[in-house]
Amino acid sequence: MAELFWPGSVLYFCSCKLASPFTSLYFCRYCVEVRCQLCVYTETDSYFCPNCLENMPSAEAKLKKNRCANCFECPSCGNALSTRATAIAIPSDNPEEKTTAKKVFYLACGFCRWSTRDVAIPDRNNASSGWQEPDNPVSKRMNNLVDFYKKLATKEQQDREKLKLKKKNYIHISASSSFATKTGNLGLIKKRSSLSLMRSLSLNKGNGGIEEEISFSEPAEATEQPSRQDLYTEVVKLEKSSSVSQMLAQPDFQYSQTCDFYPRHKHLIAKRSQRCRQCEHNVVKPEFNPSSTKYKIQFFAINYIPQLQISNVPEFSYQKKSRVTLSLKNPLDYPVNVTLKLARKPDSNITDDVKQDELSEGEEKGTLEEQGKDGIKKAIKRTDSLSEKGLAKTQKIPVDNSGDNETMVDTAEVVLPSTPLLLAAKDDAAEFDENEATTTKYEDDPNVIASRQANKIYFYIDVTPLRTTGDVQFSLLLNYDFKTIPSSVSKVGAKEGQDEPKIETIHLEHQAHLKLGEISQSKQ
Amino acid sequence: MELQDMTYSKDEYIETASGNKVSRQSVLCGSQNIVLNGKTIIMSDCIIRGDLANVRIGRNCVISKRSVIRPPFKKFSKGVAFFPLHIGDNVLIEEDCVINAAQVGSYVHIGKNCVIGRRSILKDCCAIADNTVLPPETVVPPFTLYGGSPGTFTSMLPECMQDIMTDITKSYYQHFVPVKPN
Repeated sequence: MAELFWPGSVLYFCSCKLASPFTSLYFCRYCVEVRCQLCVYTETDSYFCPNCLENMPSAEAKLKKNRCANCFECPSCGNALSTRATAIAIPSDNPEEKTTAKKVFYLACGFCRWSTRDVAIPDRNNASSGWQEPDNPVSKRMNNLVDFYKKLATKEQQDREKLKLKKKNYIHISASSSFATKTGNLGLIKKRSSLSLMRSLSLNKGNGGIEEEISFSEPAEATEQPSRQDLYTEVVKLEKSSSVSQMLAQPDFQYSQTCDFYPRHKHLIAKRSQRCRQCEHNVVKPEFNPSSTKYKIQFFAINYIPQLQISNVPEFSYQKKSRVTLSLKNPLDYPVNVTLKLARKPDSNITDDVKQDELSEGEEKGTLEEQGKDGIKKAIKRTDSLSEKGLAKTQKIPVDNSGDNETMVDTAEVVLPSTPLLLAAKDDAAEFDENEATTTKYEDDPNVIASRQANKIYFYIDVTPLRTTGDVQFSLLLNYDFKTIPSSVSKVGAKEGQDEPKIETIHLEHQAHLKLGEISQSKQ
Repeated sequence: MELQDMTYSKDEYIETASGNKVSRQSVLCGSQNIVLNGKTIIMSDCIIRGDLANVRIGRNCVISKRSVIRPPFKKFSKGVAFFPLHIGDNVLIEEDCVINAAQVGSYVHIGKNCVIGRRSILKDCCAIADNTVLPPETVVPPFTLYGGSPGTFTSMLPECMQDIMTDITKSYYQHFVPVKPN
């Protein structure tokens, strides 16, 4: 499952040097950079209930502690509860009259068969309301504390305001009021008067509003016999005591007995939008409707960056050249020339295993550091050029998250295609095209390119594993020219005299790390 | 890692004009009530109960081996009624599943060995983990992964779920090829 949605065999490096699965990356078109989950701000757009899919304004969600007002979940298994209606016979006072039927409602779980009748919660006459959550014994104390800190906050605020006033002593309140009325600045008067009102209030009360009486609980007296004798005598009924997950589902009560269970309101989930940390433009903004899957703004890497995938992998054996098929897909609507380069120079002299292990780790660090520096330099260089063009809004601060990466060591010598790979433009109608003319258009070297499918090519690389055990993996660089999206230029770089938004071509380089799979053990 | 070619013998599958590939070893009850919108694969030992109610399956869907698609019923005071079952486009249903849902949206992935309870609603762009038992009348919102028994919210899915599922189902169809004659 995870491999399907977050493929780990090909990892792309973000502009912060963190390697992540391709599907979790974004592409900020304003910065023209890859952004990973750490390089974006996540904002909550709206809250909604996962069961009834109803939106809840954030203020209301805060008030209701991020729980849905109408949906309940089973305290026993966590499934959503459904309302059941049933008729009960009410014996009439008059013995001659027949019993009258009355409709009542209760909640039941369709999965574990728990119901509110199991725990002797009385049935309700109304289907939609009446399932109040029990009051927490400490909620009163909690509210007191919250009130206390609110008061404390206002007091501190007042003190700060007072201090400010003292500093700006030259506008005296009485004097300024006449000045303000003359100039028509009524807002100023209001502000001042409310301030003085606040001060007078606090003066009247003194410190009484803030002080809190603390009562200590009485210490229990030590006795020979424990207070609860029943713990020794009563048989433990395991089926009636709740599990850890059931207790943690209700953290404020943590019922240890199943007979105390009470239906809980369902947790809300959030619709989230992502914003680039550098330029603060949205990279993802979903539509408001909870059941909608469309986006107002969507800049996924999958739609802007050529996608590298591992297509076919033979069995690897130590120091033996094998041919691996990779695929590259162009998501852009113009043809792209991709040049592949190795990220690190393979050291062919290393053959001895133990030595290699030690060396490569040391070297790895060195090369990585060097690369990091290079990358940052490049980034800064590019920013400079961009800011000259008016593309970049702010000076970029290079962020380096490469420390979060798992060890990424090249364990193979790789021969990449030396010629640039020409990818056709993405064409949505291509799949309906019966006569495929794409293959004839390109003169491909059959030793490099295996096949072509619309905007996708399959090509060969030669891989020689340099280690006897473990994953065969290596990093490579993709180089291509990216055309900026016109509207982005007009929006960000709109200066006077620059009315025509120009499409600019920017050279982009992305680093990807490929894990081709384990080396086969038998063939050594 | 991309999908590898999956081969089938040409005799085993019927290919329709719109590109549906239906195994002869599958059981389609009430086939007049079953609509496949094209490029859908139905593998061997699948059962689709069109005799209970209408079943509509969108484009580019895959129903893997030994899965059962069965329209849901609801009990009323006077007997039971069956409801039609709609499955959207680009839906991948893995092996050994029982689908009893009222609606399965587009771009949905259902893992191996799942039971989707009666009258459940799976919205667009959601996924069900392997070995999940989804209780009856559950709603799975978009971009969520449900798993476990009972199936509950497990994690959020990548925002580009639509592209991922389109890619997976399309390449599945491309790699599902007949055995080349020798």
